[in-house]
Amino acid sequence: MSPPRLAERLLAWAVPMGSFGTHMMGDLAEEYVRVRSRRGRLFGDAWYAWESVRLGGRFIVRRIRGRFAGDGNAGNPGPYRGTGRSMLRDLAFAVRLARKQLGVTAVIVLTLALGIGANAAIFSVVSGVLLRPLPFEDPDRLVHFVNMRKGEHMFGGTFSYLDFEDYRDGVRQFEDVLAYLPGARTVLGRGEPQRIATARVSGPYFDLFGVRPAVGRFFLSEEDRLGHAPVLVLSHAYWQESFGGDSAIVGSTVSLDKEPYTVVGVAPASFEDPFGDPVLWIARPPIFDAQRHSRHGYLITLIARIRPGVSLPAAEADVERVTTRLREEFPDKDGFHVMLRPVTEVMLGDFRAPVMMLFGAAALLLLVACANVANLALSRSAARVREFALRAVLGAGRGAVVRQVLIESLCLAVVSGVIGLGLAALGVDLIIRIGGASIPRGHNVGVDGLVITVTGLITVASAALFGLAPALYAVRSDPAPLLRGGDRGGEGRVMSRLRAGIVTVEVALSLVLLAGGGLLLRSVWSLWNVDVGIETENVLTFMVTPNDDDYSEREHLSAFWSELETQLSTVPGVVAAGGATQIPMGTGMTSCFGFQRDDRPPPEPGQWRCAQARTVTPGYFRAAGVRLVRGRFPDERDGPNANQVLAINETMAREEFPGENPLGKRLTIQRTSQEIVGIVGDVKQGGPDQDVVPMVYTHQAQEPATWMRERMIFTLRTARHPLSVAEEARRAVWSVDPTVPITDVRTMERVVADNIQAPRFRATLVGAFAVVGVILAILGVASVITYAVSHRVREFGIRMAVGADARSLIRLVVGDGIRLTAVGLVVGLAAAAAVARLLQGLLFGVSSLDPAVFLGAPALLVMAAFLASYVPARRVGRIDPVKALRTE
Amino acid sequence: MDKQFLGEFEQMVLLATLRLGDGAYAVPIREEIEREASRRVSRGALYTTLERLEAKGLLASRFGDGSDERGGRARRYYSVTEPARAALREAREAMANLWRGVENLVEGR
Repeated sequence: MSPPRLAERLLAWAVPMGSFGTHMMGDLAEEYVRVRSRRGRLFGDAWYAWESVRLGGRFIVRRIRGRFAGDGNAGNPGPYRGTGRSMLRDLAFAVRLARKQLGVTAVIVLTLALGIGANAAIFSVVSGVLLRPLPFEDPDRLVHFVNMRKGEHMFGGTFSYLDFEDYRDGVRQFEDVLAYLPGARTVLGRGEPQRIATARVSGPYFDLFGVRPAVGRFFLSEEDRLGHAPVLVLSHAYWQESFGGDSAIVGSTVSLDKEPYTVVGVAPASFEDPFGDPVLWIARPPIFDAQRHSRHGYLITLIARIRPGVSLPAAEADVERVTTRLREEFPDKDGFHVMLRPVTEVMLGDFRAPVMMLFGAAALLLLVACANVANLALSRSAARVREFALRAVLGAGRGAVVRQVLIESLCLAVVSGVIGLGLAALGVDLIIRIGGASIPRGHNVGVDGLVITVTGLITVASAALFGLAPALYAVRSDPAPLLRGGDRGGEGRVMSRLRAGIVTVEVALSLVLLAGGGLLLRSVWSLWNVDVGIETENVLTFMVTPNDDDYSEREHLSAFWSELETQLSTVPGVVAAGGATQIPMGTGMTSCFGFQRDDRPPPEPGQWRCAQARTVTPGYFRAAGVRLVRGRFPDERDGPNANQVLAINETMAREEFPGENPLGKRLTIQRTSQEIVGIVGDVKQGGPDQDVVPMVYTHQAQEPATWMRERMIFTLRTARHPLSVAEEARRAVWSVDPTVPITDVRTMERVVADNIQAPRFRATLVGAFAVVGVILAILGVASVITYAVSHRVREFGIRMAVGADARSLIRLVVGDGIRLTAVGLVVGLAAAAAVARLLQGLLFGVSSLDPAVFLGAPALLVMAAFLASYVPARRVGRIDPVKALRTE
Repeated sequence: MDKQFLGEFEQMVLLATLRLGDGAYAVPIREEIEREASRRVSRGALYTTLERLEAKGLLASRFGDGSDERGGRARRYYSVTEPARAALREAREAMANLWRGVENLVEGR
């Protein structure tokens, strides 16, 4: 139970160094523990933050006083004594003023805190994800080999084992080339069977990154040889979670799928695997041995370290030399080449543009907030014109008055900045939760020293921004007429124009935000409404992974899957059940298998085409809602000894059999000839924004290889809420085999939502910024109109006295409000169109000049402006002309 | 050393320190004053006063052990010095002298 870190750090900075500050902080920490255990964490944190601001503030003031005014007793004049005194006076005055007008102060501080907080929160993400160096030695020299063919990724950029060896032994400009293969294993004997993510790697894997183990050691060179003893390294998080961080774990064994592995070490907490988040790493696994003669099993990911001083193009040329040799030796590798992608790009590449866009949106919000505050500050200055005039008459130079106003602004900004940092600390948690897996390195994100520094700069900059207008206003006025008490009308007009200008800017900026948010939200809406080719409502999905050893026999595994389908179909509330080796938008292996038509000559080397293959249980089609276009689905009659059959999707039928009837034709895949018995509807496997690829479906019982169906994702179509059958479904699976782990239990709607998490995240944040921005802009319009009305009371009185009716005057005022907004909208529309073009890459299914957004957003603002003007305008109707004329 | 005059709050801090004996550090001192004198005490004011009293030689301090809940930061225990006792005595005498003969007027009897 330690106090909130941010507040503690601020306090440590504020209080004097040495023993005095230390015991004071200890006292506060001690009291915090008591407060928290009595009143709960939230109250405790708030209490601590408030007390540290009070305590810290006192010591900061004392320190400033010491610097500027000397320490008093010793007669030591501080280094800036002269200025110090008066600045201190300005400061005291600013604080008094802020206290006197508590309402306005609160509005200003809150507005700014929102703007600053939004920026600090987004900057925390920028800092943690993009700016914090990757925890590797010299990360710029680490590259990922991407296997390409004619400009397209082959098999997710993977290589065969023999290719790997050829590259490793053939290149000269690299320190090392290593193999990586993601996988999953089942841990037994620790409660429920647990399915964990693993990485299978060549021995020197960790040496490549130049990291040190937290405990124990990493892999030895003999552990990179054929048939070595099975060893693994645990991730720091898993070690903490499952083994309580006990160092004695080194040397003990862990059972993965019933196979014993020796734990040799633990990776450091800071280590981030570039290719995912594995729970443990296995050195040179048996699958590498099994694949060691394979030239065509594209499985393995390659990562390498370039020698110091070698440029990326030079390294690429070095790799190309090996590729050329491979192409000559193996004609079916025609068109292959390798692209080197820096590991930094692999980890952060896709995230850079969106996060910079979010930063831009936050900056716009801050500008709107500054404009709004400038507006409020101006109205405050207007009430003080006499004070400024008096100061000028009494001999205050322009500089003194400007300084006074700027110090007031700075005071407000600093308080807002501190609150903004607090908001950011809360906001960051929220952002990480909404962003989820779409934010790489999310665990690094937090309010750190850099964030505090940058927020400080942002705070000072915004003080300058919103303090400028009131400061200039304060010195431009000629004191004489003001002191006589006349000509407020003229002043009022200048003021109105200044404020109208600011509101115009505000409306324009908020329109940009609103249009941007609108476009992103429309994109998410389009993504939701894409027909992905399956039914997503009322479907539950989960993954089942039986132990390899228990089901190594083909018949045994087939029986297991079909028994599972039967059991799951009888669960109450389940309408249909079926499994597939991969479900749309789900995680897992995407495999592309080369095929050829039996009625055509075999394709030229390098010309063969591939289709994604799914092995399913017959109930899958109905459970997932895949449409039947022609023919039939593979079903019960297609046993292991019957005619081998498959169904193809519409895209494959169109591309491979143009103008022909594919039914009855035969394809050879994996050296097995199979008859096409059905054409099924297209399914967007990769997600709503991905293209449909050619696809074949086979009955699992006809699939000879057990590794092709070593695990399945079951889909259950339900009559009630899908999650309500989850528990019974679990029991049904375990009634067949109590040792199989069930993982990734999600509704199909969740699967789709997770698939579009990144666009949803962006739209949510920009949408929220837009809402705040629009509210601020509308408040700006309202305040300008209110001000104008109060300054034109006399004018309206005269107009009414000579016969104008209240309604026409109200119309006049509302018209002013709308006109004001309209100017802002014209400017804003132009800016929004420019910004929309920048957003293009992040949009889906909506044009960057979408009419609904570009008409709707201004319309919304006009309506809001109407309300914002109408409410204050009604006061005109209540003006009593006699009274109005008398008051002046 | 010159005669030391004590402010009201300084007297309260010294008295509370005396009352607490060996266990006197800032947290209980503040609580003691709040409870016995029914008066809100800001932490900032207390620390400033403690620092000043120690500089004047009216308080002496020593460090205790740091515990986990304090993030390992030691407590600073205060004790009242002999000059402080003298100053307290004088303050009480001064007050008592001034009070003499006016109790009835103040009590309104």
